[in-house]
Amino acid sequence: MKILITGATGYIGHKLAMEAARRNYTVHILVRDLQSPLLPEHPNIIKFKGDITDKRSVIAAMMNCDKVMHSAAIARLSVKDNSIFYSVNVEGTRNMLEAALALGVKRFVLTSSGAVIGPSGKHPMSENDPRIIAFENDYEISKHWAEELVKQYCRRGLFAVIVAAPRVYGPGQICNGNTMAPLFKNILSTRLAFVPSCDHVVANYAFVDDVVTGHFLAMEKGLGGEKYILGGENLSYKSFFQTIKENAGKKIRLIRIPKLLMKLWSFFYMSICALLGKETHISPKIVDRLAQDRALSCDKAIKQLDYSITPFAEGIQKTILHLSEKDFLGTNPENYA
Amino acid sequence: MHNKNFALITGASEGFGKALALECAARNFNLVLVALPGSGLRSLCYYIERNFNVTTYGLEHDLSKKEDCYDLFREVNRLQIRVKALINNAGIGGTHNFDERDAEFYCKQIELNVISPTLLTHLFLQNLSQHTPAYILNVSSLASFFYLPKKQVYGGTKSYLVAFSRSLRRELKSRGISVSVICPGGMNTNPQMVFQNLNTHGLGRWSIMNPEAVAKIAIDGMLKKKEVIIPGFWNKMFMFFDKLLPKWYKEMLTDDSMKKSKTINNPVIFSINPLKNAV
Repeated sequence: MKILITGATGYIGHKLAMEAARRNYTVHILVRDLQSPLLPEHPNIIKFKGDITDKRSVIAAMMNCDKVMHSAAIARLSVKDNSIFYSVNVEGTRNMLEAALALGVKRFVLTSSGAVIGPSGKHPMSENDPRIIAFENDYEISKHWAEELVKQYCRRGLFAVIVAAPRVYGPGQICNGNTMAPLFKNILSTRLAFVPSCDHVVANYAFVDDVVTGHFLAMEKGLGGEKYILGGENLSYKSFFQTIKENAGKKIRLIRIPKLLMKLWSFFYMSICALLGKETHISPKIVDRLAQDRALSCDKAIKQLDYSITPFAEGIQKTILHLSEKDFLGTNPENYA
Repeated sequence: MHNKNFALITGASEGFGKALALECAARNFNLVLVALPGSGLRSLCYYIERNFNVTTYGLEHDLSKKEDCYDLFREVNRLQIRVKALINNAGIGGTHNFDERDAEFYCKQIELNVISPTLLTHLFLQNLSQHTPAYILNVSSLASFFYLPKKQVYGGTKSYLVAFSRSLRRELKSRGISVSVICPGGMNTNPQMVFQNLNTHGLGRWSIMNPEAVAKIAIDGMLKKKEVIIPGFWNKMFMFFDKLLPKWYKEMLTDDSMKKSKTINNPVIFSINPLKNAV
């Protein structure tokens, strides 16, 4: 059985490729740089040089595959040139879908994001809930359109499912998609954790291994055209940081900081990065995002796919163990990206 | 009869209508939401019932058809609903050269933007006057004050709503019904609008608001019985400068901005969802 996996140098894609190889698939990966230090290495993995924005390379890599996991995307909130979100996340997905339809692919899985669902109300959001506030940035819109494209191709006869991952944490490589690792690294190396004063705010944290297993479950058991949230526990900042503190293996001090201070700091940080010409996630807008409840319900995936959730405490123990084993602490994430 | 007060909102499944529905639900209004069939109304109603302590009816109608307006009226009567607030929000937007679309499009635009709110107001007047104080909120646009190119029919229908509301307001005041009209500027009502707005620069971008923010101002204004509601600082500034600046200068500015808006046509969008080309 052959499977094509895109985004294999990314956080989730890398794990998907290794897991597929372990499950005895012949794994085709489509990568831009065959020399990338982030490539997954396994005898079952065959590397194809190319780019999802280049149709010909997509077709070459997808040839003879009956399954596709499409996890490549620009997974950041801001980049210098916004149009890249649309050329990669939307047009790239269109290339993938077009090729899959033409080549008779039997199962197609798109990795999407909890950001498309947006903030939650009183209850955790499920797949069919409407978005309750406007889309906020190019990333969210581009992923929304990628999902719309998948549904469009399903109507044209492709068997495709969408999986949506929220904030994903866990062992894995340090790269752009691994947004939680820098936070953990910071906490462990400085022994300080800055907790937003709005510590009742709830968000969903998914353990990366659950998300990876969820992809395979969705591919095997998912219904065509359906979307599945592959999340984890819904936690307030208070319990999130408390759990980290309890499982860190060393003494961590929790420091509450008011939102206004965070906003001011983020503004200064953003300005300094802008002056130095450095890209950054941080902006006052992000602070506002962090103050919104983003609880998700995984009931559909649990019921229909037999998806299961690793308790946060267990997940965090594995993550911290991994970080200290790899001696990532104190190293610069840029060296790995 | 229901002993609860309801707000009836048209065009409620998406964009500003959805934001109005969520805002009313947050203020404990029970809801009658009206939208086109297949527009996601059911999931919105389900969401509201689960997250707010209100009763919600979702009724699917195409209000550009007169029969559907009458059907809606009969259905609400059958449900014995006390309409406390009528919010005429459904509308068709668009920015095109006049000869770019066929005449049918403009007829439909006039039917939905003009005939339907007029008819619904007429039909529900008695219901409203039985439980005063009652409210009518018509959703117009800042385009009703600025005669922009490519907004001929749209701007005209929205100007009608301002004139209709302000006149009717004087008539209905003594009967305990307050008529308000809101004139929002650019809003992030759907993914395509957000995309366009993210790629707009200068003054135009600053004035763009999120529908949830405008909805709050709209319902506040409606309950405070305001006559004309202009949401947002920059939109108010536009209105202010409109009175000060000479005509030739304003025309130069608006010509310029319309030309710029033409350059941000992303081919991606139109091939995904050609129908969502509305304001």
